[in-house]
Order: sequence, then C-alpha cells, then structure tokens
Amino acid sequence: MNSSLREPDFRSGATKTILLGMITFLISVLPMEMNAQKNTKHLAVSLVSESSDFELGSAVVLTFSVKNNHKKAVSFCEYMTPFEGFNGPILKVLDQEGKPVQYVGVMRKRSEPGPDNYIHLESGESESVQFDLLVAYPIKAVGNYTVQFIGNKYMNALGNSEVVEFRVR
Amino acid sequence: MLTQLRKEDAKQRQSVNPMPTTGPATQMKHTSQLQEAANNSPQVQQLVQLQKGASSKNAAPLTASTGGQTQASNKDKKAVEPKHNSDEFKGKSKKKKIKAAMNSAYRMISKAKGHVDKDHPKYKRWMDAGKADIGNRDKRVEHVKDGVNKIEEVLREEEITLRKYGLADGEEEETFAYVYPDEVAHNIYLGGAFWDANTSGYNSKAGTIIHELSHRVHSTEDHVYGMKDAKALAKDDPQLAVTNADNYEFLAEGA
Repeated sequence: MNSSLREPDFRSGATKTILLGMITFLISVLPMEMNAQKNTKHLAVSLVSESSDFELGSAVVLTFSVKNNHKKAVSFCEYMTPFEGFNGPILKVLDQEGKPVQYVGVMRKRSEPGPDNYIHLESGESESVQFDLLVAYPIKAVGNYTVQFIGNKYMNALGNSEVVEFRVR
Repeated sequence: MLTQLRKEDAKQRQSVNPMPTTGPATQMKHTSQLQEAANNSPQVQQLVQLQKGASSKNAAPLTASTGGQTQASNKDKKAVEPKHNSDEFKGKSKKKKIKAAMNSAYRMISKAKGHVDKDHPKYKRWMDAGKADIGNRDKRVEHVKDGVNKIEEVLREEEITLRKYGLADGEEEETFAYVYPDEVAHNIYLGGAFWDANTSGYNSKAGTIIHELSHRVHSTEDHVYGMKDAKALAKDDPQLAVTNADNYEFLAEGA
C-alpha cells in the first residue's frame, strides 16, 4: 500500500486537472507556429499596378493581394510582406536595362514573429494593401520598369508575384 | 546562390571602407615610413591619425610610440574603444550603456574572427552545419570571414552614430534597432527592445550593433529572425545563413 502511494495517482482529480491543463496548453500553443506556414502553397499572391504609366516624381501606386484558394483556412506571417510596410528588399525593381533599383528603406533587428504577426484567411478570402513603390525604391529617371514581389521562403512562405511592367514619363 | 554571393561582394559600398586594412602590429612597424609619406598623401595622413588614436586615448605624438613595439601592439589591442557618437541621448545612463555595448561589440567580433573555420563548432552552429551538400563550403567560409573582418574594421576605424528611433510606425517597442543600408554615415537607430536587452550575450545590445553593421557593410538581409530559425538555416540552407544578419550576430554573441 505504502509503495503505491508514492506513485503518481493518475486517477486522482487534482492530477487529472493538471494533466488536462498541460495538454490543453500544448494544444493551444504548439499548432500556432506549426500551422502558421502550412498550406501557403494555396495562397495566390498578386501585384497589380494602378496604372501602366506614371509621371516622374508622382506616386507609383501598387496593390498587393493574397488570396486563399485552399478549402481550409490558412495563416501566413506578415513579416517581409507589404502588409507590414517595408522592412527589407521584398521587391525586385528593374529598369529597362535590367539594372536593379536600390532598396532605401529600413532594415530592422526584431524578435521572431509572434501570433499577432500572422494574417488569417478563411477559405476563399483575400486581403489587399495599397502602397507607393517610391517609399522604398526611388525612381529617378524616365523609362520602362518592372517590379515583382519576392516571397521569403522561411519568413512568410509566400511565392513570388508575377512581374508587373510600368512606364515612368 | 553563389552568384548572389558574388554580387553581394561586388555591391560593397565604397563609403564603407575608405582605408586599407592593416593590423595594429603592422601599422606600428611602419610608423616612420608612414610619417614621411604622410607629408605627401592625405590618405596616409589619415592612417597615421588612426594609429595615433589607437595607440593612446590622448592621441600622443608619433614620436612617443618608439619604445617596445610588441608591448605597444598588445596594449593597442586592449585599448580599442570604438569611436561613436551618442549626443542625441541626453541622459548619462544611456550614453554609458551605449559605450559599454560598443566596447562589447568590438570584443565579441574580434573573438568571433577566431571561430570562422568550417570545422569550428560555433561556425557550424550559426553558419554552416555542413550537413547539406549545397554549394561550396570554402566559399562560404571566405564570405563569412570577409563579413566579420568588415564589421570589426568599421568598429575599429570609423565613427558610428547612435540615434533615437525616428519612425512613426508604432513598432518602436518591438524593435531593437534599424539602419538604412544606403545612408553614407553609419547611423544606427535604437528602439525600445535595445534598452531592455543585456549588454552582451544572445540578443544583446552589443549583438544588435553587430547585426545592424552587418546590414551596412556586408549587405546582409533578414531572411529569418531568432535563434531557432537561424540555427535551422545553418543546417538546411547555409547559403542563406551566411547572408542573414542574425546569423552574424549569434556567431559573435556566442564567441
């Protein structure tokens, strides 16, 4: 009898509550991160230019969208997407000679993304953001340009967008 | 990916390294020749100025450094305190913290130089676990060596300006620091997380400075953030690890 008392009694109410609590905690915390970058291949990324040509010096307005084509809800991290603004060279902007336009925005040290940094899309749902390209990529000469969003395999697991062409006159 | 490495090498900004790289010992050895040359060349004159700064806090005249070359060199190594400007911060406490972080950053990166070897456990942990048979491991070692040298050099030879957070984006508390890669001056803008961090160790104030300088002088990016993902990158995608700012920071912080 004495020896059995020293063993943890899984039938007791208190132990059950603790175990249940631990399991609930693990269920609630673990899948958050693991699911975060799952099924992102079902997310369609698009970049659209408001116009096919812009005047030199005026805003180059682009719309970035992500649509969930999966039958289930999917989440993705907003880090290094236009949804959070510019924190790195997330676009590839080329002039007509194929020369890259340099990124001039900030580069930041911060912690790994937390739950608040994920965007949740239900099946069929999409989210868009409009931004001015010149904020991070100054265009100083007239000519033809191309711009493309480059997905970050590890941070947001999004694919690249199609290449968008526009003219600056 | 290797093409990317080469491109990044080529991207090296001229403003960053105006000086030839010379170790303190070599510099001491050539003092007299340099002194002569300085009369004719402004660039060499600058180098002599740097030597003076490094050999004594009070910038003693060159003639004072004639005694015991080896002794002087050893002293130089200990005496390096990165030049920096923290005038934007009025309180003494913040200035003191910045100074401690700068000194610590220099010590860390100098020590990390000795760990850049493809078989060193710390290099393997943060840069290239050597598991994935991707690209050229030796080229990656060279790339990391180049980056670590550049970070050490900028701390030793140039002035870093620490500035207040200047963005109205509501991200100040989560941000350790940020830089503009294209700015001519070495400005590092400090966020709330910087002040909460320890002076040295992982995710520290000193490490933040190394992280930011890696963006400025070695064209690193932020492919991943945090120790867990940085370590995973070193295993699964070392080509990206050697261009990721946090990997340089962690390599130095663990040195």
